[in-house]
Amino acid sequence: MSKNRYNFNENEFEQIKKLLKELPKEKAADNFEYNLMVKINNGNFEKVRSGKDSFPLWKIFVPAAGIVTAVLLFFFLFNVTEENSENPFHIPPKLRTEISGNLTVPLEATKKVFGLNKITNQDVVIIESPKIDKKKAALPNTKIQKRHSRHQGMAALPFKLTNSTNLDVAVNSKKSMSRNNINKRATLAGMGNTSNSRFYGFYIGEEIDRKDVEAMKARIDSIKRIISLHKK
Amino acid sequence: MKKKLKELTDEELIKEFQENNTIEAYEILVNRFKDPLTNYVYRFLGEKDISTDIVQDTMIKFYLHKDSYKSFAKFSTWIYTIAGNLARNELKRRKRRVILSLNSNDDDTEKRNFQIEDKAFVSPDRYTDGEIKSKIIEKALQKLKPVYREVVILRDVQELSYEEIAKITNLSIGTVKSRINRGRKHLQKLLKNIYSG
Repeated sequence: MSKNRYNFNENEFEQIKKLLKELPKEKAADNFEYNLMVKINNGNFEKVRSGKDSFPLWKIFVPAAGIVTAVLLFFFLFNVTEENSENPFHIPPKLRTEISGNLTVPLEATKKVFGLNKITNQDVVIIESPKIDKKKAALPNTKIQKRHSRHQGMAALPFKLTNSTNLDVAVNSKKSMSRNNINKRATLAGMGNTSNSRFYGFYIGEEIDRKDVEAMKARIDSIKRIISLHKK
Repeated sequence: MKKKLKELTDEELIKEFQENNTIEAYEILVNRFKDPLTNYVYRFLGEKDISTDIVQDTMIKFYLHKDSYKSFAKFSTWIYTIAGNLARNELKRRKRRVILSLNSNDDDTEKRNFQIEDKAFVSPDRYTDGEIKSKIIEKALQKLKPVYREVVILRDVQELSYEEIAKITNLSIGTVKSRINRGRKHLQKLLKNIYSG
């Protein structure tokens, strides 16, 4: 005998069952078969009831897809990202050998290597850098670097690399510089709109010559005197 | 030949239709099941026109997808499953329509409640009239939740076995029995007044 797990008693609902059995049996329409065969023969069953008025899920994504398309179009048409501007992080670093063709070596090291005891602190010794096999050193972007390296290397040092320079002479000669030279150095390089001019950076301000200052003062005094005479 | 076909069982007829595409076999099956299916769908949805449409669609589906029927199942179970699915879809669609509609049938619902629950409105002596009695039962059935209504109709109106109902509804026999029990209990409450008559 099976257990009654669902607390199920058929006799409990005898009356209900009887009432439901007594319900009149609904019959199909007289032309049911005729209509059905007409539908089948005409192939008029594309709209089977399950498909009617159904709301396809993909329609939910239509507005979102529209917005995404509009944003993409905006980016492509108006080119919002500045592709033309140079990104400093994308520029490949310069090779040291191309910045300066020569290397300066400390005095003691030079003496040891070359045995030149006559070298003093005031002398500048230029040693040619060892030639590097270009094929070995070549990187994918070496061609681009070659174009700029010459100018940039020159800009990095305040004196010509090919000639030796006595620093004391160079420092002392500052004082004897003419006014034109002072003005030139005070002018910011690359300020003009000419295509040839280049910006090499800022220089340290020059000391003002006393003689020039006194001459300027004398001029100003004479101008003041002339003005005061005119007023009287 | 046609007489012979009429003597065949449902399963033999569908086999004949599947293998030889015999339209007569299809017609016989339609003739056999059009009334029980109409009755089932009508009791489930409560609307004659819609239930006729659904049964027609069931027969069309049967015609189009005859090969999806496998011989190990009973044909009646298969066709009832199709009709039940279509009827359930119709109910879902109706629900959506009610939610979306600004003019829902509130008046109609009120009338329904009034007829079932208000004893004063329908006098007790009129319960003897079979037509009105069946109307009240119909309305009470419509008040049941669809999950209970479906199994109660299949069991007590269509008189199918629990196993068949379980296959049609894709539920376990235990669930079917429990749902039938609950549905009947609810119906009993709704039809209390009729027992006295």
